[in-house]
Amino acid sequence: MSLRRLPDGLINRIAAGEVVERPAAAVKELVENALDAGARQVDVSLRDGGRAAIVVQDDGRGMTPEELDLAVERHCTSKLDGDDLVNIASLGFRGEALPSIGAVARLTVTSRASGANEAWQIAVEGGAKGEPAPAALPKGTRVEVRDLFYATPARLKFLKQPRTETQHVVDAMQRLAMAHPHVGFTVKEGERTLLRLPSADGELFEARLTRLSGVIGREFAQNALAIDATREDLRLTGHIALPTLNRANAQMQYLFVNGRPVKDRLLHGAIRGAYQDLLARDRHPLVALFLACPAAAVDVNVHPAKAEVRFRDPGLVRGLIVSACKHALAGAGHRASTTVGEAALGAFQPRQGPQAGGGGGAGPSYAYRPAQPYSGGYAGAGMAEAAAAYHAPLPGLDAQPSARAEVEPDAAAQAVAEGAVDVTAHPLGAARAQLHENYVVAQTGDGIVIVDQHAAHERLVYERMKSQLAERGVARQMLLIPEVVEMDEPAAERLAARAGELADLGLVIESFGGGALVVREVPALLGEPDVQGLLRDLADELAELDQTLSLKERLEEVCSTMACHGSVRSGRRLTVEEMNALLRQMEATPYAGQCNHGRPTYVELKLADIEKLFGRR
Amino acid sequence: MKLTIERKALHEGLRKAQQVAERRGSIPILACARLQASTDGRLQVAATNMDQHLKTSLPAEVEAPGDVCVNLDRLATFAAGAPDGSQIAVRQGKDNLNLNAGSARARIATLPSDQFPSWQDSKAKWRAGLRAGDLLTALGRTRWAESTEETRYYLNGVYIHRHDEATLRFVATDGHRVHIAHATPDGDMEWPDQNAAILPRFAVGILPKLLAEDGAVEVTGNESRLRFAQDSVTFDTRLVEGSFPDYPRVIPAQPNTTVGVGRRELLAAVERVRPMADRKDNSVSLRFIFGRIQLAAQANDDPPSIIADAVEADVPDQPPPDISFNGGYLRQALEALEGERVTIGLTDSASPAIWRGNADTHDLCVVMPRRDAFPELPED
Ligand SMILES: Nc1ncnc2c1ncn2[C@@H]1O[C@H](COP(=O)(O)OP(=O)(O)OP(=O)(O)O)[C@@H](O)[C@H]1O
Ligand SMILES: [Mg+2]
Repeated sequence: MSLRRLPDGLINRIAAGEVVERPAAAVKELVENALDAGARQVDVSLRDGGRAAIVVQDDGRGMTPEELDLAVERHCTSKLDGDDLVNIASLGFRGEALPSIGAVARLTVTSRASGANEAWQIAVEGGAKGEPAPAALPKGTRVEVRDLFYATPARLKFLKQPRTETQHVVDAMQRLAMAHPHVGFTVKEGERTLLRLPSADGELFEARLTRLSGVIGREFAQNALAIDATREDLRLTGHIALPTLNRANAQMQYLFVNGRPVKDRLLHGAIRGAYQDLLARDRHPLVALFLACPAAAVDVNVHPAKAEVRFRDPGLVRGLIVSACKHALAGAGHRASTTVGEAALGAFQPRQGPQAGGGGGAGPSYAYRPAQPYSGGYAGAGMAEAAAAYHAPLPGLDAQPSARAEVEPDAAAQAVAEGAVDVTAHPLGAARAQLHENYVVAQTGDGIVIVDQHAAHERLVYERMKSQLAERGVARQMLLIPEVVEMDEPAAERLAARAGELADLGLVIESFGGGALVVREVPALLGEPDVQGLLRDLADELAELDQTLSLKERLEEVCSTMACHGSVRSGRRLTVEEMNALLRQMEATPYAGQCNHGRPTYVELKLADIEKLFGRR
Repeated sequence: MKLTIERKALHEGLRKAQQVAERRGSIPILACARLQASTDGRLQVAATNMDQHLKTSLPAEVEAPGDVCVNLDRLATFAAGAPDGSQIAVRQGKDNLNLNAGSARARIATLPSDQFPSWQDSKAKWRAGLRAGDLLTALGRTRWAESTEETRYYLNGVYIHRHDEATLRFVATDGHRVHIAHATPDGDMEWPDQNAAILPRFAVGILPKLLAEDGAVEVTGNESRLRFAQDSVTFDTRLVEGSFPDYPRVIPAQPNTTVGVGRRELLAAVERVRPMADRKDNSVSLRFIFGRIQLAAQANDDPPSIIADAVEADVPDQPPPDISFNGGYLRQALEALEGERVTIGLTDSASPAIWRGNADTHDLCVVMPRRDAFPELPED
């Protein structure tokens, strides 16, 4: 075969393969265009998972017939004004999406430029462009894509079941929607509405939280901590969930850079770092973070679907994320997730309780229902149940009979003897009784708090040990026989480059060259550690997350077992003074709301919810 | 098989076999003893876990020879419970063993003897005859320093090599310290001075239960196995594969200074301060001043809690700098050494310390210090 220049049609089809790899990618490109055009409402409808048809309609500024004609041409964009790719402020910038879609499908774009009297339409079929013709459309732009990939049958074969493709579309839409709370979104498949997110009003944080709870689920909003931090010219905002609200995977961790949803390992690593020792290794928190930075600080042109970005200074971004999250979590102090309280209340609910007979109105109002995800929130289904299952109700609350707390005579007597502590003066209130020799019940201004005394005290001891470790430094056992660990050269170099940081944690290494490292000192706390395994883990982490977590984690593991042994056992009677002292310490200690594995140390039941249980509301 | 055997003899033999058998594993035959009765009046009891193998030969009145496997714990339960001083009558059935002793009787299921893993005897190239007490003492002194970290399997045991013409050396290290002990064989020995045997930790642990302190033990073997034979007991073990580190390299030839101190006095002082140190941290710091050693340990409270104590000692005019150790290592070194006094050879606070007893053994412990400052002492 001789060397030749490819015809345009083929070039577009090849490019299309990268830009639109599946229906969700086409939807994403079209919705991004709508957002770039300033739309306030974007409606998407699909047929057959987007394979048969995708229609995206917006109320943005629209296009003139001339613009329409250009818009479907390759490399035509209105979004880059200069000659470089340094300052990209819009979601699109390549002028590639519409022609790519046009190359592999039957594309019709109908648009009415704002202020114009009529709408125009242009059609592209398998790369062949028609002429703009007058059409009817009251406002904005409507893009119709039929028979996606009909021109590239090979790609067609790789499409999954319509249900799966639809799910991908919903996922992509949710991500975009989180970043644009002031825009309303709907997604329909045939007649079914899969997502309905009305445009949220109010200032950004408020609107965003409304939107996030619409997408992630109501319990997110209830358990979210707001983040707002700046470092140099980066600003990080958003919300992160309390550790007690967590998941088995990291899917509910969203990062947006200048309004663009991106997937980035850096985020997951940084989040793991921030929640480290608040969660078990296999549990993941929920976060949605929005990074605003000068366009020049980030390269968005690294991925065909723009799903990844590259930061000019990743260390700065990571540092900002970790410190902002840690700060917020520490500030949350003893606050535990409401999910816990709701799960507990859910357990009180009579299984087949007598229906509030004939009370009128819509259904029984006295029985508390655990948080349901927003009814349109497609991905959220089953989340509340999962959360409830994970936060298994505390012993003593799960079965109904024992929910009637048996107040022991002397505990009752203690309860009478109270009076010293003002109920409203403290977030965790005044201790009233100790039940089952492990649960401290306290009365707060607007509810009651039940504390697991063992878990709470364990956390207090642990936090104390940690701060001492940080103060006094990690004692190091020098090795009589230094251990030589062989690994591949880049891994060894990565570790050697961080030798200073590791030494602060008690691990002293030295490069031997050629991939060999000599370990000269180990943290005394670890006894006789598996040095090889430790170094391998650290090297992997450096490669993946650019952090050295496992050493810290191992040290903290030791601290936490020691904390467990050194803390108040369940089964010990506490005096009222002791109970109140415990509550006050919890209030004063950062991260006191959960044990080292993300389980709560206490639950709070609001009076309002308790009243609902009794049909008083 | 048909025989009678004295309860006590059977009970003791089975107790030894129980040390070796894999009693909680998933392979039934490894939880068994193989019983072989021969017409020359012996009942041989064998047990194995594939890495170790034990044979003990017990006197019995054998009417009919036989060879069968039976679950060790079941048989031992009967032997333990049978009346003191009684004779146990053993009769083999089709797939069981019938036992009778006084009013007690039992029937225990058997497995065919051909299922029992065979243990091939291998050629003995090395040989040393020791007093069992000397062997056990040397192992007991060194085993403190064995490594338990499985990734460094070649440290999971005691290394036994020839030190000079007349002595065997026992060495164990976990990379933090080395314990070295010696034993002198009776008569000639044939033993390599390097690439010698690493006796696995499991074997080191059970040998005291298999051998009687008094009496001789014949140790034979080669690069892969060792055999310990004492009277009617023959214990075989595989050796740890891999090479033991070149430990003499890390022992400083000439420490800068030497401090002498009463062994028990120092041990007692270490034990007085050590409990204050946080359990995992366990640091004990030493300061050498004229005429005494000051010891201190601290707990990570806020402010730190500190305990200090002192013992009389021969400290040179130029005292060595402060040094800290894992308190557990100190205790174990002081317990492993022999004699009224110990000397501590010191160079600086980041170099290994050499501990020796003043008894005429050449045993020593080399302990690497901690990097940990001497705590601020409470005011007098
Ligand atoms: N919904 C819309 N409303 C108004 N103008 C639009 C709309 N969709 C596309 N356009 C115009 O068409 C042009 C081409 O769109 P296209 O998506 O192909 O490229 P782009 O958005 O500029 O870059 P990219 O390929 O990165 O998405 C845009 O620059 C914009 O001017
Ligand atoms: Mg675009």
